[in-house]
Amino acid sequence: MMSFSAAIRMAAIGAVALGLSACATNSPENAALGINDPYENSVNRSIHSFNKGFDRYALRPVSQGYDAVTPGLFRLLISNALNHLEAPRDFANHILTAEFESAGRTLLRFAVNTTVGAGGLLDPATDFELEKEDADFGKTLAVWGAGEGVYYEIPFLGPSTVRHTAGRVVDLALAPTSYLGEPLIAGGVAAVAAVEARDDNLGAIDSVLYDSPDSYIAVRSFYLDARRAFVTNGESQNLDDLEDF
Amino acid sequence: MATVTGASGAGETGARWRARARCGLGMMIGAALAAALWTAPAAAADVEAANALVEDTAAQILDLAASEASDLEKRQSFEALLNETADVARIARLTIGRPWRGLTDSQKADYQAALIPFAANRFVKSFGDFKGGSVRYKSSTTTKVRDEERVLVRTIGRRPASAEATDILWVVTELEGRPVFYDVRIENLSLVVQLKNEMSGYLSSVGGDFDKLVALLRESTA
Repeated sequence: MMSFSAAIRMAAIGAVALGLSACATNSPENAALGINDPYENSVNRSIHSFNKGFDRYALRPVSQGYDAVTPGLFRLLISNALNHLEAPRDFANHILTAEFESAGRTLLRFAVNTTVGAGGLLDPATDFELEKEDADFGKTLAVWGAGEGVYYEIPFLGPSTVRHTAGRVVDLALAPTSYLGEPLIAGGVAAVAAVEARDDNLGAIDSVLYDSPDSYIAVRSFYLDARRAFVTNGESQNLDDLEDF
Repeated sequence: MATVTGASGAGETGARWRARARCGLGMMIGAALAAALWTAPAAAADVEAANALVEDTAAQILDLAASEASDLEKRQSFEALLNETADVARIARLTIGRPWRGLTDSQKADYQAALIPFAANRFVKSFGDFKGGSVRYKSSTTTKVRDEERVLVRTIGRRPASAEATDILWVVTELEGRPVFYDVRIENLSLVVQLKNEMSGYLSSVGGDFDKLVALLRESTA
């Protein structure tokens, strides 16, 4: 059975976000930047401060501790297992966006790693040139023509948009851990994934969060650029669109 | 063009014209072949130089990231490397875009001097996540945009203790006869586009005051 409380939590966040977006007015300055952030000063900056504190005093130290005390091989196995759990999500979203070749490779990768790769702890598929090809429902919504929606920060989860949040809710339903019937396990896996991701991107996140003139603007810019690059397969990052003066 | 004056004359002139035409055609084919033979090795050399630049720069960054130096020392070393291997003036222009035209020479110089330490810090820390892992050459292609040849060098980065491969694309061009890069895309995310959008955000937050933007950048890397 799916982790009901997790789904309810995400759905509630999504509903609040959608509700907020319905009555929001963006500032002309943000609109000129191509950003829909009407709650920057009223809510978002406060949540950002909270999230930054959470990172500084909890997530970052825990991820550094995790990195220091766990052997490399153990971390590699965990990383492989977490990637393996994302296969159903990747496969379903490749199908939904008509990326059938990617869907086929994802299925093959899943089969190889489940059998030869000890249930996903090892990753022999990569050696057979079956690299992981990420896809999520936020991207699917974008491909289907849904707009990005309002930008906001969610306590503990960080930056998001209405479209991305809605996508996360659906992706939760595609996660195998949602069907274990044990919320603690699903929550534990999500926590390990967050610690892993923070550890993998320690320098990049540190430079955005702690070495920028305004970390709110830096995080928002970084997040939107990364998401837009992901959903457009890099088209949003075309340098040729920048005029060279 | 030859003037036809009579039958024999016409035949003689026609034969001479045909001979000249054959000669001209032969010269054109010869020139085209020569050009092809001349440019092919040059293009190959450019790609090789671009590949060498990327491999060498990536190795130096990884060494730097893995070194025991302080963050400040790493940033300063990378600034020097960036000035040597990248088109920093172009990066500065691209990250400002249209407003660049309205800036004085002194503002442009100030901005470039403030941006490069900031960009170097972002760059070296992002690459630092690959320390203990690897960044290896995969392939390269050439492309031409607005009469400019560019070499796109694709490398694959692997973080330590992570099986996932990261696609890293370097955009290399030529500056004063040497290869230089001016953008790096990690998983499709362009460092230059990212910096441009970030700078636009800061500029907007200070009411479009360019000197305040420069002050903000200086403060963040002081």
